[in-house]
Amino acid sequence: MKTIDWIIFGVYLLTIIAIGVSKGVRSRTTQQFLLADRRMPWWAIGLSVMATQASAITFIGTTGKAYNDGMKFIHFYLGLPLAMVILCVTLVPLYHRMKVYTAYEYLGRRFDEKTRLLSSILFLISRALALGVVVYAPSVVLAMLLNWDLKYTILLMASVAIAYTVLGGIQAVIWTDVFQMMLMFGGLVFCGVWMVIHLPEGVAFGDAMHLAGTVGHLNALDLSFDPKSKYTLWAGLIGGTFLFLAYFGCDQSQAQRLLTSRSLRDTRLSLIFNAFLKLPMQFAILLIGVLLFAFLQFADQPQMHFNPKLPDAITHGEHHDDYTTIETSYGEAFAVRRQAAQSLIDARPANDAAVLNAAQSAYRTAHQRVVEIRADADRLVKVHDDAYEDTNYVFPTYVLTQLPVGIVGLIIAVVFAAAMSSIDSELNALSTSSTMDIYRRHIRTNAGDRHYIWASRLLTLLWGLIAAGFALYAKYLGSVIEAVNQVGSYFYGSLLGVFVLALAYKRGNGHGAFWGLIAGMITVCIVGPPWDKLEKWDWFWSQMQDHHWLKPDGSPPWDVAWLWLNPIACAAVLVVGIIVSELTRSPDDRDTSTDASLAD
Amino acid sequence: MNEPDHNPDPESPSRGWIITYAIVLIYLAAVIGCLHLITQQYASAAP
Repeated sequence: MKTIDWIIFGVYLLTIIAIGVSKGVRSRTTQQFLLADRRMPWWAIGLSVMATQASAITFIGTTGKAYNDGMKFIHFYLGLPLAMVILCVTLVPLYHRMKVYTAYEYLGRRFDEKTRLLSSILFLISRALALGVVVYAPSVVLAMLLNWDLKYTILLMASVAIAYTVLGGIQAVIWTDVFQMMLMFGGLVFCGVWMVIHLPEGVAFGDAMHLAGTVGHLNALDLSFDPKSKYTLWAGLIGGTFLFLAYFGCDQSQAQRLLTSRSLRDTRLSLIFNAFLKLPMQFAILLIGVLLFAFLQFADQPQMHFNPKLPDAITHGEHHDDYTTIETSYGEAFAVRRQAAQSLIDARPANDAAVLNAAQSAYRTAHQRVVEIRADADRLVKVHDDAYEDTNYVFPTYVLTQLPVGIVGLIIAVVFAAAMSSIDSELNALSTSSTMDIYRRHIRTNAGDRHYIWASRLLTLLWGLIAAGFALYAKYLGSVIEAVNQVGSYFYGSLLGVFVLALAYKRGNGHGAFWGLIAGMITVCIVGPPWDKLEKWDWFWSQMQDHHWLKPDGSPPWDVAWLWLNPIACAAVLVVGIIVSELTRSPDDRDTSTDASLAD
Repeated sequence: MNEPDHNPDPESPSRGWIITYAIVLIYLAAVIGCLHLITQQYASAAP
């Protein structure tokens, strides 16, 4: 980073802090601090919803995934428009009618206090874990830029985010999100255009797409039905819809935005706005990753790993020579692939099917060789550092090595904007839920507004510190983007299930909701345990082997992709919730559901 | 005198909203169609 980059980055940070300070000062009541007095316009809420979801992970992780695996991650977002429509019809009108502060307050009114408390605690745990990962991602970039240890960058990132979020309430969060989302759109368009313009000489956009397509990087739609596969149309449409229903409707970090609008119409517009814009935005980000794949194979120097922090045993220890040997092979394979890529590009205009097929076959073989050698290198590195992770370093490496002075600072600001716009929303939601669902309800029940504003600020600080603590361990979770959603999927299905029970089953009661929620969590733990993590737990795995619970090839007895955990947990909550509600329902039970459910 | 309430249940989706929701679903179908076309376009090249 040059001086001009630092100046641009500094101006961005100062602007954000200025907005945070100016908006925070105006809040005098809890309704102003936590709900912006319910006066936000729909377009600001819509942009804030987008910005909250699009964290730095979106830029770093998604482009890295597209570089390695192509467009298939787009499946994940296919359920989003469906979820938006369902929310507009179901939960959103109820939230507006009941004028709640948190999504869990609605459950308290519909069922009972213990259901509200349990759902709020589940939200707090899942969001605090996810927030740790969200803090971790931009810290990766900062560590690379400054050549600092990751833990110092995490602490720096967290302290800036905490300070600015404590100062501003939800108004500051939404208005900074608007600014940051515009910055993200600008950065995204710039990166895409720059990459297309600066493709190597003789390589047109169509050539780059053809290269990517030849190795399956443009397989954007998988129609197969395989529960083990994470990215299929059905996993996206069914699992994704459940996930986004839970995320936008039942997760306070998004639901809080929906509670700040002037009217029901404004909230619906903000969700429809997202239904239309989110998919093209994700497509564009993935396309940048795919173009990166085409671009970097013409680089002068082959780069086997992008994360410069290789284990000591690799850089100058016992396996240094082995790694160097693999690196040499990689360089040779890389040169062969580049030649094959050029031959394929040269063969395209002739339109001779036989020549084109031969060129494609040669390129595919050369690419497979590159992938295999890289996999060998990965295995060697992971012998010494199991948590070594490379996906999230691809895009930052491109930014640092290929973009001009000044623009580097801008793109780094974009990555930070993406991170800040998620961190502030999540900190604010964690503090709102812990203040309104727990502190105000169970600890200090009759204090003044000023007291709760300060309690909310202190809790923001506390949650920020917890998130920073978790961020220090986030690198052990592998690819950042999946980690965040994986954490969510262990909780979201159950949370969604209890909301569905509230809305759709009039006879559901507090006991049914409470035990349904617990059953949903237990079901997720049984159906979708993190096998890859459990494999490393020697005692557990030897017990599995001794009891012949593993398959003959030593693999886990069952394996369900995490997107499916959402509908499975939701179904478990509903089944147990309905049974327990019926078993515990007495003839004298008063029906409290009429004003808080959709069922008649 | 209060204005007459033309919409006794403002929370139930009006015809305008139902059309909006239908457009969103058509849009989703179009996106899936486009992704399918992209996949098919390169299917001959992909393994």
